Amino acid sequence: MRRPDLHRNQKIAAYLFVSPAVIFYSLFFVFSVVFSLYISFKRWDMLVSPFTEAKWVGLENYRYLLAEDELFRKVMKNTLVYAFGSVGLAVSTALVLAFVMSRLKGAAVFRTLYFLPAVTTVVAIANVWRYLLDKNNGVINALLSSMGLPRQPFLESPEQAMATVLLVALWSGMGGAILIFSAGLQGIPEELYEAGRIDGAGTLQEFRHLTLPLLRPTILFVMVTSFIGGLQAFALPLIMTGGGPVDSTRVLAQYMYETAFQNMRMGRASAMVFLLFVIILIVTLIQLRVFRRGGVESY
Amino acid sequence: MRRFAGSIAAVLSVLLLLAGCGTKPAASPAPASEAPKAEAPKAPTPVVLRVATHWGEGFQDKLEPYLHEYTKLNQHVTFKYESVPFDEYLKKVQVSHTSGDAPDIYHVYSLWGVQLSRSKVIAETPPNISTLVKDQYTPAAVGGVTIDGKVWGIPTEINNYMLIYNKRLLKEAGFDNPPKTWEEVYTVAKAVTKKKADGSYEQAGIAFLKGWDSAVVHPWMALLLTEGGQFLSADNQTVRFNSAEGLSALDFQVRLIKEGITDPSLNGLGMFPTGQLGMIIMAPWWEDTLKKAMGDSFQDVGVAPVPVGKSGKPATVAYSWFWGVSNLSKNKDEAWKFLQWLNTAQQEGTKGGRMGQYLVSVGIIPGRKDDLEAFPDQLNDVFTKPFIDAFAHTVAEPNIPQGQEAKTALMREIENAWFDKKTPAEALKAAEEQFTKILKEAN
Amino acid sequence: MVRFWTAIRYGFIGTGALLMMVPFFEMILGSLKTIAEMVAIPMVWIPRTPQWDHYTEVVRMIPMFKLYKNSVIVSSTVTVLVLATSSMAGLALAKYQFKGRDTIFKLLLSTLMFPQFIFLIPVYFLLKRVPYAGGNDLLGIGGSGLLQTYWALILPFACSAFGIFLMRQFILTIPDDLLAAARIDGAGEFRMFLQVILPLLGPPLATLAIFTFIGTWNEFIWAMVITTSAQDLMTIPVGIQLLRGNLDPLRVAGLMRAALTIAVVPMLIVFMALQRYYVRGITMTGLKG
Repeated sequence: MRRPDLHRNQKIAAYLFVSPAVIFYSLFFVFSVVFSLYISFKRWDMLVSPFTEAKWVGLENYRYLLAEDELFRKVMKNTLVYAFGSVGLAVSTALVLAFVMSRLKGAAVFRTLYFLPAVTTVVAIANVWRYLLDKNNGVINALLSSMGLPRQPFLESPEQAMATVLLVALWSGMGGAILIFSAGLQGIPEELYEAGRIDGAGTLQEFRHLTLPLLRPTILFVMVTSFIGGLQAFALPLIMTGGGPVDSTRVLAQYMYETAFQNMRMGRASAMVFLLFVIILIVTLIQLRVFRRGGVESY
Repeated sequence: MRRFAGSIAAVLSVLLLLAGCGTKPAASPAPASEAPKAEAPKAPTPVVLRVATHWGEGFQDKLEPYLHEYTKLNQHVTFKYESVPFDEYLKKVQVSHTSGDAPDIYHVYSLWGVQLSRSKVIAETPPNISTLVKDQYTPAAVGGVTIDGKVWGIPTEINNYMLIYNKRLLKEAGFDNPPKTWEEVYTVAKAVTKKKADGSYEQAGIAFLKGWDSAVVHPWMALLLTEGGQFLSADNQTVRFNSAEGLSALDFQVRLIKEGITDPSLNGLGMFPTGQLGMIIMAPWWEDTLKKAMGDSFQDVGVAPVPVGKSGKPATVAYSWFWGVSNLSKNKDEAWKFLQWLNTAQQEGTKGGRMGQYLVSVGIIPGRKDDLEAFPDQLNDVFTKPFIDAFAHTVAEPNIPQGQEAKTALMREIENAWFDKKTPAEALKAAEEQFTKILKEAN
Repeated sequence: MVRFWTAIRYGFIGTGALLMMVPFFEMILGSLKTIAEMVAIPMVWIPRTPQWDHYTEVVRMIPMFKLYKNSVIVSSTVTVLVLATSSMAGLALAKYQFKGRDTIFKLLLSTLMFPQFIFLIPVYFLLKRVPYAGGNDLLGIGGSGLLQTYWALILPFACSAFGIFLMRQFILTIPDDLLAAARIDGAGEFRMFLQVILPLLGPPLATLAIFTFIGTWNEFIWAMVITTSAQDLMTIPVGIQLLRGNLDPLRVAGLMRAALTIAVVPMLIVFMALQRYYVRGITMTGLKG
């Protein structure tokens, strides 16, 4: 691809074109990562002392989080449950729906309807679901009660809250996955299905032996992106439950936010983010491996 | 190449145009032509005081008239009122300070006083204000604003905790009087609690609120005190709540929960006004909300001392708030002048100040001695009087560094015990460890 | 038989779609109910006579107009900046040979991997320390920097690795001959970008614009941190949360639904009108918004 007529002008133009992005990422990204890492070794409250004078504590922040902080362990567990839960729910539900919708007239309309929550602000999603789930005045409990079933506390119960939030996350995130799966399904040539039908394959078999294998790269893609998204969940659990009851829905992002801006422990909060980053890094490395093996173009 | 540079310049100028929107958004306009103009050459420069509180709608509309009144008296001073829900309020104070552009006046929770004063978020009071506070306010109120031996603001409200009960529900269950001891609480609560066929509560005898640090920690602290226990050592350096007394207070709550007499998931704040809750330990500021929500049935509401434990001695806990001035404020003098007027200037025909009047109008007990005498109608009513009477044996919540963080940790452990995630002993031990770590770290 | 299965399939996804719509009904219908209708047992599904009180009151209680204005300013500026930075960088990475190109591209993509929370504290610090802004001196000390300006909400989102990736992928499909022809005609590089490349980028730019606009409009955590001190900058999602501070939950319920309806319905309309670009964006790249 090397072009022989590489003018100096073009080279300068190239650098100028790319420079806003490079400057932006050096300022906001490189600086942020380095600065965060640096203060994660310090005790800094951002209020008084310039951060250079803040006390250097070495690995103390990391040690405290990993060895001493019971809440961090709980929060980490919640975060992983949330991430795995949202991946499992989103992928399975969206896959089934996309499959049922595929090659159906008017499917585009349905896909749009399923996608509406994705363009809705999370503040609306979380608050409206709180009303729907309310024990006394909520629609869902009114339905349960009219069917003669006991009212459920949902967000008020440490046992049910996380599952409830996950279902709402499914509601709000499923549309995107359906779109991606639908695109993947459209990419499967019709002839393959016809060949299958001549062989007398039933719908279920068709799904298992034809659709699933061909869709594997897409499925992996959705799994990994929603896993990384799930690890960073913040606003939905925060607004729905505030992290409660008894921290059963408190996730890492909320804990980090409170540690930084309520307790003014910038160092400890930064250390938390780096621990989260390590997890995401591991997942991404696995992703890259699996993707390559699955024959997906490098992404 | 020149053309290229020209195009870049064009883009840059577009960006600069866009930069126009980067200017500061219009703040509330200063009073326009009302202020005296050229004829009064020595007119003071206009000042906008930004006042931040956690008092939202319903409280705010009663406070704001005083701000307008002050502007009428001092035309160069106008106000910008910033209200933030309590949950977000400490973040607001601290983040505003770090941003470098903070409100001039904060309403501050005493529990936060240590960290806010040590990190120089709030300014020290000028000598005249310190003297005034020491002279005019009750000892409990002065205690709330005194940190490291200095006064950091003007006290406002003092809230202590009492047993608020529904007379009608208790009577229906066969009790003419509120319970005086923990054992009586148990009996009454058990008798009042009624459940539906599906196990949900039709009405509950007593409720413990969850998820709100004060509402969780303070009632438990009151029980701890009536059992004869101590929260911290007198110098606030050593944890004392992990004791036999602390444990028996927590055991008592857990026992009520385990026997199905109450449930920490109950929405006590919602159930009481609708007549579905017999008893709750709460603070006097709730009066206004209850009156509005209950209408005529407010007459069923009774207030009694916190039931006592083994010690048999009445006791309860209080927390307080105060007005402070931001260390970043460029108008500290004007801010203190205004606060002095708001809190202590006498109104015609009464000894009471404006702040005192505002506080009693929303059901809150003021910390200023004159105010306590000036509003007998509001302060001697059946709801508020018991709270005031109880001041004799009220213990103030200690002001400690990272107070909010420590208190949240304690709330978390109490809830762990309520929800059976830990035994009460384990929970208190964990809370003690976290408290101790925070106290040590600050020294 | 086939028809039977098709009916079942329609029934299945139709029911699903109906369930998906329930919260929107709850929000919109609920905003029109009286408080009595909200708590009535049995449920009142559709308000007898629509009540507009919640709307008039919520507009009085929170500055909806200002919130809207802020959201529009921030979202549209971010969108313009993202379109500009993405298409320029995309062009450079797709059609020019220069040292470090592949490294830059890989680094840009790797940024997608970092948790966004890594930026909260440093970027806040950075914006506060901008020299000669908001009363700062040369060293960025003394004032509030850019924290009290719209830039605080705009700058951290002015560039998007996803956008650059999207543009690069699209520009790669533009034949090199077109560029060569433009150069032979004597067009400078920048004019070539404006007159030859940009007109071809219509569809992906539209996609990116909608993605960015809706994403910024709904952004929550950063807006919350910034507007904690700079209340005048509140955007819609953060501003509406203020209602939660009210102690009377039933009253808030009606106001909240009204405020949310005001906030959400315009976005839904924008999306419905432009959804074909949005959907294409997702299916084209296989990336999720």
